[in-house]
Amino acid sequence: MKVYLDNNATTPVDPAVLEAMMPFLQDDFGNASSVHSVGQRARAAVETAREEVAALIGAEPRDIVFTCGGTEADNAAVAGVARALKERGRHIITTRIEHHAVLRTCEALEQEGFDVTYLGVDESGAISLEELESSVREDTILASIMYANNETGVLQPLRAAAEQLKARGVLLHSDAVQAVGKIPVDVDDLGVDLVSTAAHKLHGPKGVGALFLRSGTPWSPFLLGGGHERNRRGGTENVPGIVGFGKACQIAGRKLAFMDSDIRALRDRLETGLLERVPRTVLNGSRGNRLPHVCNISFCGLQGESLLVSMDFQGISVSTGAACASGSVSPSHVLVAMGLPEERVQGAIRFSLGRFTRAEEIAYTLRVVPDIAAQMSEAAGVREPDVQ
Amino acid sequence: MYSDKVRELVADLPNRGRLDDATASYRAENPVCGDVTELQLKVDSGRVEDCRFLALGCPAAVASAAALTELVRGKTVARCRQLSVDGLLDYLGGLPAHKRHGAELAVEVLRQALASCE
Repeated sequence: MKVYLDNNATTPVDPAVLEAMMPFLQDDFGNASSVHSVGQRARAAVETAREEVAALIGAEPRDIVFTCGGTEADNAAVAGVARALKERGRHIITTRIEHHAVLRTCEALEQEGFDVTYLGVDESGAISLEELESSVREDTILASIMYANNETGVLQPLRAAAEQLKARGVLLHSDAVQAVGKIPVDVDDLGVDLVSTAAHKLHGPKGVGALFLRSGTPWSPFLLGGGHERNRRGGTENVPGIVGFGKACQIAGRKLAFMDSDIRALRDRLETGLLERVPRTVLNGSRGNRLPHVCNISFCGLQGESLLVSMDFQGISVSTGAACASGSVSPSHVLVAMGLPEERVQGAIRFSLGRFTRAEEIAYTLRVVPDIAAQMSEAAGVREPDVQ
Repeated sequence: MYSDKVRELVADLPNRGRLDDATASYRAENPVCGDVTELQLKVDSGRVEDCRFLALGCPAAVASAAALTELVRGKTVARCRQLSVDGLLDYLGGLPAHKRHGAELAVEVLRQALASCE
């Protein structure tokens, strides 16, 4: 049996999304900037998709800027605000558990003379609002705080953070790539100024994402070129991708309740089953305050990558952390930031379900994984049943 | 990233565990990445009659240790001493360049375990 439990890395494209995209790869291939009717059909499709993306996050369509994905949206958000406001201040606040798309951008800005404060998190994976408050300075221009962490699914107190920051005149960007389409996200309710999203995390195609850029937010364009996206992002629009993104958002909006009920129940069944059946396992991050489809479990005394390879051999796809980091030997910066002991960091496996995960896949995983862990424990010489 | 042989070895973990009647053994740790490999041998009349491994580490380390047990079992000590890192890598179907240390650790453990077998 093939079981895909790595939906935080990417998701399979929904067949309805593919069907919506196909005409724009074939007959309706026009450039959305062209004046002729072929181009205008593409333009109309892009604008419909913009409305669909906006609707999923409670935004105005005009505030949606299509990008080539979540990384570009993160880069553009952080660097775009920093460069627009550099005369007002050069201090940025972010967290130690951000995606590297934000962290690397902040590091690059440090090279340009900006000062960045990296907020820590507690063992539950959450930032401290007190630390956020005390980190704001006179020259602070922006905070970038992810909504849901990609490795643990833990949610940050975004609404409260936005209130604090707004009172101090600081803009708030949030990487909501993992949250959008999984839980309700409303940019006005949250009070955020910029939000990053990506289509392939919610059963859309790869290579397309969006930046929510609230009207009036000081910001400098990241990609320069033609006047695309109302002068906010140069480059011919990826029309098939954007159409697919729009369709994916439309479907995801209808499926939010399903994610919260059925997928959450499957996740809980998987999590409870593994914690009960596999000795020396422990959940990483908050149990209650997280996305409904993610669990990060440490198999203490074992090594995550070896577990991953063994599970893969049995047809089960999981991750040892962020997919981007799987090719390197670096431990998860998220779990390290949470202060977890090395044994828990080394043995961590992320299980992320998706809308298409079925009960029989969870049952199969619960049959197979305990045996894998037992065999690997035997090979590792693990004996003591204690958990830190 | 990993060959089919490596994947198979990590999944099956052949000859894992301890050898109650081992006559030679050695345990070593890679101080950089923390991989631990232990080899236990039962040598009789200059021949490796049985061999088991313990390993905690990345797939390269685990597969290398398991592969070693398959390669040395039934062989003479003299023949086992000739086993090289490249020979092990050939058996594994290769390892990613940054994972070669798994094979190096396993071969070093074998050499040290065999050192007491005259």
